[in-house]
Amino acid sequence: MQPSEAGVDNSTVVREIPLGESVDLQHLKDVFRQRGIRSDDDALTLIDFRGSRTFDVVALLWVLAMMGTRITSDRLTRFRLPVVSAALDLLRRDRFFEAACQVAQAPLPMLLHLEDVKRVNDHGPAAAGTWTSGDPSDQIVQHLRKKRVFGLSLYRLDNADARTAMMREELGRWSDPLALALFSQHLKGTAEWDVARVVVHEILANVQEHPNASTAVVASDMVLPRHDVPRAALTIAVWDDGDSIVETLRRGLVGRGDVRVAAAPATDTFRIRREGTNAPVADELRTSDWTPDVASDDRDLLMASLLPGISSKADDGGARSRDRLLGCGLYFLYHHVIDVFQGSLDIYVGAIRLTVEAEQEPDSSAQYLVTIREGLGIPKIRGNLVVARLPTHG
Amino acid sequence: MAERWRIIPKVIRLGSATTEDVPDERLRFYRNLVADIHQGQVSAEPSQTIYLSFEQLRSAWQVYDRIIADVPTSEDPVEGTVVLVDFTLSPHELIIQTVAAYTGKALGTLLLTNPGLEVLVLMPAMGTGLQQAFRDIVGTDHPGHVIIQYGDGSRVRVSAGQAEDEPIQPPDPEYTDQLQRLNQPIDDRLGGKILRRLGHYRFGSSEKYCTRYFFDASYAIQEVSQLTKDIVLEEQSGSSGPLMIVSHQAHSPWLVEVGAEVAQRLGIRHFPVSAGDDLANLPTSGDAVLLLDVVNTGRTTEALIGGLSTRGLTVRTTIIAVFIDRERLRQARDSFPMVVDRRSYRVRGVAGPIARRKTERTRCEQCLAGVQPADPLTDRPGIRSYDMWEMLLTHEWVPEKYGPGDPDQTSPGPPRFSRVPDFKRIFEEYGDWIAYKLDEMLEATRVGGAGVEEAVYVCPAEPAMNTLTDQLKARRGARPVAVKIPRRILWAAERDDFSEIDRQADVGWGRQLSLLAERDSYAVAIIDEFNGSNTTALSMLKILRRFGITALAYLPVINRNPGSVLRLAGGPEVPIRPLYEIPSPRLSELDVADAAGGR
Repeated sequence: MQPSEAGVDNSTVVREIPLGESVDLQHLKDVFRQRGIRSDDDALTLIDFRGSRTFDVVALLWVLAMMGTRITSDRLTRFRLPVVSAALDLLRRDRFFEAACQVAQAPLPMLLHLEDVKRVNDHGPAAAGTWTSGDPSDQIVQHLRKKRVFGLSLYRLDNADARTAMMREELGRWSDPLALALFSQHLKGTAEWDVARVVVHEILANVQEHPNASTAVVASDMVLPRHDVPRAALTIAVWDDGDSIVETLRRGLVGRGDVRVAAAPATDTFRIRREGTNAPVADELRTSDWTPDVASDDRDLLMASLLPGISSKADDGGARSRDRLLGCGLYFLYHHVIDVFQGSLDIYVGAIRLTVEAEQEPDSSAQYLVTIREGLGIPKIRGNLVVARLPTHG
Repeated sequence: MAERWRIIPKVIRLGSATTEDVPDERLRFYRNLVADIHQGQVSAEPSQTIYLSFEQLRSAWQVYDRIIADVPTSEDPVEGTVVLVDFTLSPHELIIQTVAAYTGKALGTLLLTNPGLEVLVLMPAMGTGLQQAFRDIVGTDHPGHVIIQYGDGSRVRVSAGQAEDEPIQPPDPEYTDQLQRLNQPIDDRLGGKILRRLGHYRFGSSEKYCTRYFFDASYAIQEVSQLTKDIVLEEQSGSSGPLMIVSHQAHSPWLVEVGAEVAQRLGIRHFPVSAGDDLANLPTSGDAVLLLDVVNTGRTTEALIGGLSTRGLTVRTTIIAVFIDRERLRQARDSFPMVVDRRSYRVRGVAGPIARRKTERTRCEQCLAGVQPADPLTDRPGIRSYDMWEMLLTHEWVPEKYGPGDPDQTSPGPPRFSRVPDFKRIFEEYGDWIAYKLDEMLEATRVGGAGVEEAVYVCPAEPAMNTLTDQLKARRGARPVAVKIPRRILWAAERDDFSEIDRQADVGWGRQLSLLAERDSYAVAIIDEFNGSNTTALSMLKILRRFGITALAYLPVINRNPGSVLRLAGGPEVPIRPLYEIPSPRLSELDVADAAGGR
């Protein structure tokens, strides 16, 4: 679906979204909420990075997801570039423009404000970073950004081979010896291989289960623990434009009446906290053998996707029925992210955000805290966005 | 307790395109290991690897079926059975949670049906879901257990009735060494990955000399890092203050990665410097270990030591060089002394000594012919004439011992050449580079084609090609898979006799092809030492077609039949992509037919 130039003449209404110096997800959501931005806004949305200096890759991924959501209904999104050259270099380094062009399936000039087109053409590539600092962690992070282990990567998911190729390439990237050395020093546990073996594998296996996904974007970065960094972490996030987890589970429920494909032991207990515009509700405890039914709402369905043995896939009596671990992907994922890496997992579907992390309340009988937020005025995105955050330490 | 034990090996090779035989050496290793745990005589069943190709990782339940299969439910009081699951040949990143969980389920299921069974699992030191899945299946009131032996030699007992694993043996470096030697010793791995590029190269910044070889360790960063780390560790233990690594990379940008990785693993600092840097970014005090890509004359090393000392750093007396010129080593194997400013240093090599064949440019044939020495990093696909003929003329040519045409004359085929280059010896000497060139050519052939599939090479099972496929595998960490087809099968295919091919579809090469045929995410390339008449290539194509496999390309090292088209009747044309061409074909099949009286 190519955005056409025709609809973008001078009379077009333009909704400008100026972003601040630090583009992180919270800031982005605050701005969108304050300005009442919607992904189905017919106005041309102009995302203004002019004042921006630093970018969180998950925020960039979220911008791409919103852009991708809008483009499917021919709604346009454009960008103003950062005024500061170093900031423009950061966007280039993370391959933001390449990803944006691929998501929009349009050449870069069509995604930029006219004034910026010339700038982006004139602006040469950033000089290769030199390895001057003696700190190997800094050197390796810089090097992995240059080697494109960190940053944004886009994949087309047109067929099974393309999906296999994505997995092969990503597992290869996350097994880079330098990355492993970095993880061995800065991640919790001694599980340097588990980033590829569990986190990356399960996050991408999940993408492959989403019907009608044509594109996946993987975003990652590693922030080393320094005294001035509040939440230093390795972040690995993936957005796909397929049917959402909620939609597919709903379809399974309506079609088959049940989405539990395997019995699960009630080994995990969750405390479920709901935040949103609705009247406050008390927290609820739920165990991993819980099963949704047709009356369950979207939030419950999203929560259920974490549980082992829940899948939209039918037991078709064929090869699938041999799979006794069907519906365990997100279960393996949150277990490792939380139990091994002491991190947290976020899933964004539509306008719902689900966070699962370790329970911190001493009196609680739950091991995990699930926070479900909805109706906070954040624009809906299409598809699924999953973010694993693995804290780093010195 | 049983008096003797029989091992049923379940060697799991994840990410592999097809199955392979488990070598005797490995079975022997298992016997020794099991004898260490159980008293009595131990035997091991011959076996083939259990593989899951990359795309099959999505149906990991197949691991369950394959572990369960062929385990007898014997209650023999004299001979006990040990199921030994070996994950140590699988890349760590592919030992995904579902594979581990299905393994746990399979082992639990086996124990439930066969309580006398002993189970041993060999795996890298990592936490997987194997134990949880095992306990879920077996249940808490069952006495069954499995033993896991980790890569560091530590051993735990996993009992169904206990929530925690019970350590039963501490880490054992001896086992780690043995396992590494079995899976491939690091020196071999390093040797296999170092590429000796044949060409015409500049010698450092010298205008006076050029060389025939450039040594490239960029595929061996991991091995170089590991060996470098060991040397730096020794230095660290002899150093009172904190150590730093100063790496100097003249022609090897990858050395920066080695320096950074070693420093990261050891928690020390690392400063890379390049030729011409003024060292201003370095600290002005502290102990520095100097790491270089190559030491030839030693002049660069001397200058660096001088520069670092002037800056205020103490250069450790052990200097690490990935490569050392054999001339400098003289009789020594891996190190040589040097004195700078009346202080003694020892330069230690990481990889074996190298001989670059340095020549004065005024005496170099190529320089005299006006060919400029090249930058080693700008090689092109294929092999230059000068290089090819040097290789071909290094050894005596020999009568063609094997090739198309059945020797017992049931189907004479095209006549043999009276003399051919001795490819086995050529591959022994230059195989690393030729193998690299084949990979490179396949890559070039695939440009614009389908994605990033793993390559599978199909070739005749003959001594020269065996040598070459070993080298192909060495550089790429035992991948890719090679399928070697016996010559008698190729002869049979020449006369369209597929009877034996069909009989062999479940064993050895036949089974490899049967399994390969089930999927199409592998790039299958036919390789051979040379192509004389397309006959062998056509036979291989016929066999592949019999299995329903399409070849992406035919890559002979030399094509003596240029301009010919390779195609089976009704099939697509298979591109011929040789490394070099010499127009000197065998007699055509028509000629042969004429010679045989119009047959």
